[in-house]
Amino acid sequence: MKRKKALFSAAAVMTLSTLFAGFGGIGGAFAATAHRAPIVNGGTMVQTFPTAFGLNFIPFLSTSAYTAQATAYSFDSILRFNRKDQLSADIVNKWSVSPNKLTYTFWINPKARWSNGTYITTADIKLGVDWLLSTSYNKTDGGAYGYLLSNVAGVPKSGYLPDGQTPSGFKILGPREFSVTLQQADAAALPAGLAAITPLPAQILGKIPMSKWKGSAFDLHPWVGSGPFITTSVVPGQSITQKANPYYVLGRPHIAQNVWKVISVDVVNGDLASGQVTIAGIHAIDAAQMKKVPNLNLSVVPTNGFDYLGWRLNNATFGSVFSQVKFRQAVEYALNRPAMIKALYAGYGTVENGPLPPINFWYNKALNGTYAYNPAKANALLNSIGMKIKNGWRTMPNGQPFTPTLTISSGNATIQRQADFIQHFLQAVHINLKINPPINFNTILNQLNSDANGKQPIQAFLLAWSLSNDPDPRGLWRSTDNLNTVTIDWTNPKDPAIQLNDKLIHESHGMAAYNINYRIATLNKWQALLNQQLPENFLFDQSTVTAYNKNLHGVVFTPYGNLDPQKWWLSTGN
Amino acid sequence: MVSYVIRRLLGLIPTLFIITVIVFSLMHLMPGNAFQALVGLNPHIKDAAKVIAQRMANSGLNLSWPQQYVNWIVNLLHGNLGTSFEFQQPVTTLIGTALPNTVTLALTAELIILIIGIPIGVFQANRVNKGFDISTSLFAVLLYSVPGFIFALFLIFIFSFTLNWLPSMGTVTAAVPWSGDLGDRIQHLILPATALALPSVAYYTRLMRANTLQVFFQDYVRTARAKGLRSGRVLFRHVLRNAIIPITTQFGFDIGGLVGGAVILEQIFTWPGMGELTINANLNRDYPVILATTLIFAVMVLLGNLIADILLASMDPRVRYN
Repeated sequence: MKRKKALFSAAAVMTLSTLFAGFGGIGGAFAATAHRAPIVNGGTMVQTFPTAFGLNFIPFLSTSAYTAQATAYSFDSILRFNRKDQLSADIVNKWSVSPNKLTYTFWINPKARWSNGTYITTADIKLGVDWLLSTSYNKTDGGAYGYLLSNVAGVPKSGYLPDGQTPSGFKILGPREFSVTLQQADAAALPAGLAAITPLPAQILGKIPMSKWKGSAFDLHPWVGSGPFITTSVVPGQSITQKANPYYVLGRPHIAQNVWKVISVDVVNGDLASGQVTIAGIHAIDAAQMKKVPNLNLSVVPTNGFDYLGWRLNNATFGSVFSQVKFRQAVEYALNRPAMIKALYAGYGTVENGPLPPINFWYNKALNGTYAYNPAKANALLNSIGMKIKNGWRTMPNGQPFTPTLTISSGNATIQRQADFIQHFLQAVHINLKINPPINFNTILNQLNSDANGKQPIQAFLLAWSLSNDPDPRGLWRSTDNLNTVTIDWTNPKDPAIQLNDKLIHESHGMAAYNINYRIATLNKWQALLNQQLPENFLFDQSTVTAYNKNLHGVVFTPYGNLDPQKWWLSTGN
Repeated sequence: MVSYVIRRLLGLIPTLFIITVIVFSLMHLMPGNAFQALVGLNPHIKDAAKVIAQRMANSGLNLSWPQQYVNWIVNLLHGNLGTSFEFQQPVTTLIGTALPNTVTLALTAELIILIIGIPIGVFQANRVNKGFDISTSLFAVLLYSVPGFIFALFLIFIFSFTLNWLPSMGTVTAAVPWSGDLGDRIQHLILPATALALPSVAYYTRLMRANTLQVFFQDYVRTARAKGLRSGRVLFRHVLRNAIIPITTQFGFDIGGLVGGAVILEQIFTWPGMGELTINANLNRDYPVILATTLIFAVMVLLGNLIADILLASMDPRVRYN
C-alpha cells in the first residue's frame, strides 16, 4: 500500500497517530502467502481509508496521504524499492552513474506503456521533472516534494523554475534514454531523490498550462496512468474505483478491480469479518480477536518507523535538566519498554534504541540490548547529576521542585495510555511527571512552532516518525534542520556531540559514501552517537497488523508497504 | 402570512451576523492554523516559517481580523465561500456535495420519527396503563436513554456484518453497475437514518402520549363523547388535531437539531455529509470551511424555528402572525 514511500526520501514524515500507522497496512515480506493453487484472474479487492481523501490525483499534488496512496497505484516512479529495500527496475530498467558520481543515465523499459497503450517516452519523464520544479507546483501548490530534485544542476536556490522550464542538468538523449546531472555528488541522490521521478502523460498534461493542472479534469479523475490500477470513478468522501492496467510494465494485475473505500475505524473490523473489506490495517490489541475470524489471515510486520518521547531541550523552566544526557539516559533506563509493548500493542512491537528501527537495512546491530529496563541505574544516573529526592520527588540540582509536564494529543487512546505508562515508570524513579489534559494536535504543532524562547507550555511530548526507504538523516537530525529545531531542539552548535552528529550526517552522503561499506560504517557511528546521546527518548517500533481475507493471495508484506499489487490475486471461495 | 415570513427572514440577518462574528473570533483564537499542520512538520521544506507566511498571505490570513471578516462577508454576498485550505477546493463545491447528503439523512430520519412516533404515542394514550402502553413505554425509555451511535454500531452488527442485508458505509455502492440507483441509495440510507431516528422516536412517542392524555380530559372531548361520537372519530378528529400541535413545533426545531446531531453518525457510517466536513475542518483549522459550515448549521436551526412558528400559527387559530 505504501509503494511510494520513496517519495519521502530523506528523513521522515510525521505520523499523526497510531491510527494512521495501523491503517497503512504495512505487511512483512516474510508473511507473503504461499499458495499452490492456480492463480485466478479477476475479482474486486476492497481496501480502506479511515477518513476522507483529497481530490487532487496528479502525482505529488495532494496533501492527503490517502490520495497519495491511491495515486501511487496509478502512477509509477522510474524506480521502485523491492522487498529487501533495494532499488529495482520499474519504468526505467537500467541506469548508470558517471565516474565522478555527478551524472546518472537512465534507460526506459521498452515495454513501459501508459494504460491507453501508448509508450512512455523521455518527453513524459521531462514533464514529470518540469512539474516537480515548476513555480506553479512549488509556489502556489505548496510543493512538498520539490526537494526531490533540488540538487539537479540548473535548479536555483529557490528550488524552482518558471513553469515548463527544464533544468540544465536534465538531458534527453533519445526517446528512451535520459540523464540527470547533479550540482554535487550525493550518495543518497538516487534512492532519496531521483528514483521518485514520476513520468506524467505529456499527451494529456502537456497541453494544459501547469498553473491550471490543479482542479483540471485530469487532476480530479486521471483516466490514464502508468501504475497497476487506473482510476475509473471517484465518489468524493466515499470511494475510488480502479481497474487493472492491461499495459502495466511489471505485468497485468490479476485482480480486475481495486476499490479504496472510506470506512470508519469503528467498523472496519466487522467489515473485514463480513468480507466487505479485503485487506486493512487493524489495531494490534484487536489482533487476538481477529485471529479467531475464520475467513481472515493476519500479517504482523515491523514498521520502518518509531515512537519517541521528546523533551524541549530549550525549555525555560526545565531545559537545564532536559539538556543533560544523563537525565535522558536515566529516563531510557526507567522505562520498561518491553512491558509497554506488551500492554499497549499486545506484544507486537520492538524496542527502539536509536534513530533507525531494527528492521532497517542500515540498522546498527550493536544497539541491540542497550538500555534494558533498569530503574536502579536510572536512579544512580539521576543522583549523579544532583537531582536529590525531597518529599518523595526529585528536585532540580539547585533544589527547586522538578515537575515537568507531558503534552499529548487528543483523540488517540493509545497515546494516552502510553503517557500513563511513562508517568508510572518515571514516578518509580521519583520523577514527578504530570500529564497535561490532551489537546488538539494542531495546538501541539502551534506550541512547537513558536517555542524559540522555550516559554511555550510544551515541555515533553510524544510523537512518532515513519521513515523513508533510504536512511538519509537530513531534514530531521542536523542541527540546522527546521524539524530538529521545532521538535527536540538538539541544536546547540557548541555541543561537541552535535558537531559530530552534523559531521557524520555530512559524511553519510558524500563522495566516499558511494562505497556501501563506508556508508554503513558512517551510519553505524551516527546511530551509536545518538544511542549514547539520546537527543530524544527512543521508545519502540510498533508493528503493523494487517488483516486480510483468506481469498486474497500473493501479497508481499514488508516494512515499506504491501508490495506488488499486480501479483495479488483472489480465489473464488474462502 | 407572507409579510410575517419576510419579517422573520429579515430578522434572521442580525442573528446570523452575531453568530458569524462569534465563530470568526473564536476560530482565530484557536491556536495553530491549517498551514502549520500541512507544512510545519515536513522535513523537506527548508524554511517552513517562510512557506507558512507565504501561504497565509495568499489566503489573506495576514490581514487584520476585521479586514478578513469584511472580505469574507463581501465574498459571501457574491456567493463565494472561499477555498478550503485542506482540500484546495471551493467551499461551495464541498458543501454542494455534503449538504444534500446530510439533509437527505436528516429528513429521512424525521420521516421515520413521525411515522413511528406519532401513532405509537396516540395508541399508548388510548390504552393508558394497559399492556401495550407499559411495554412500549419501557421500550421508549430504553431507546431514549441509549445514544444514537450505540444503535448505529448495533444496527451495523446485525444488518450488515451478521445478516449482510444492508451496507454499513457510504451513500452508494462502489464498482457495481447499479451504483447510485435509487434503490442503491435507499439501501444505504436505511441504517444511518434509523440510527439517527431511534432516540427521537422514543422522545416523540413520550411527547405524543403526554399531549394526547392531556387533551383526552378536555371539556370538548368529553362533550364529543357525550354527543355519542365513535371513539375513533373522537380520537382522530378532536384529540389528535389538538395533541399534535406541540409535535409540529418540535418538528421544526428538530430540523436543525438533526442536521447537527448527524455529525457522529456520519463518521460511523462514513456518510459524506456536513458532519465529517465540519469535524475535519475544525481539527485542521480550515477556516473557510468552519465558517461556511457554521453558517449553514445556523441557517438550518433558524429556518427550523421559523418553520415551527409558521406551522404552529397555521395549525392553531389562536396564534396570530404578529
